[in-house]
Amino acid sequence: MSKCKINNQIRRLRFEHNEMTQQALATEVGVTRQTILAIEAGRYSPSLEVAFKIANTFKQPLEAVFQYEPEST
Amino acid sequence: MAYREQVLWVDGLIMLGLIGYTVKQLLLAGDAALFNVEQAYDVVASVLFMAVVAYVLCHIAIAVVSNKETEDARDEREQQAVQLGAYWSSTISQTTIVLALVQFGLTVQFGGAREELSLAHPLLLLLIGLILAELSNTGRQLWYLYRGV
Repeated sequence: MSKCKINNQIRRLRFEHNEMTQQALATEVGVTRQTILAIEAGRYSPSLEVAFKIANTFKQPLEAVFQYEPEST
Repeated sequence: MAYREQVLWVDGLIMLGLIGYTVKQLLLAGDAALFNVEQAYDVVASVLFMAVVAYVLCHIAIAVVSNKETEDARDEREQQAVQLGAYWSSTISQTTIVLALVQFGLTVQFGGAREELSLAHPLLLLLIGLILAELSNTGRQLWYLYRGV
């Protein structure tokens, strides 16, 4: 059975965008700050819609924000 | 801490308090609560009354403290947490209701001949099931929100 892990660059991208706060990103995307926190920490994989909204906020392609990393057990 | 997380923590604490209160009431009533419908009804009514009062007061207090967030819609992660919690609590509720119905049927059928069967049992079973269902609902949501599993 294989497990998948989705890494993300949100923390770095926030830093590069004038140290955008989690709250500011959450407001932009339309989710709660706790959800942004959970996504950053890898505890929650967002829906495609939210993933695209995050990428769009940073004006980056989706694959520059999220990386799929298959890993087998 | 977000408004909904505060609500969940408070709900969990209320449920734990209600478990303690229920156990205390049952211990105070003794065997009478287990085999006498009126006594069992008194216990159930007092627990439900305490639950309603605690819920209303605590939820008003939290809403007053964080009045802005109460108007925000749940986002997708919070909706998933609600669905997971509801799945667990509905499973427990359904199991309890079936067990209570079986117990009720047995009591109606054989209650006259067997002293250990009482209509108080399904009543108390439903109360315990209600509390456990709500506790599991709260616990599962908190686990999902904090651990993401």
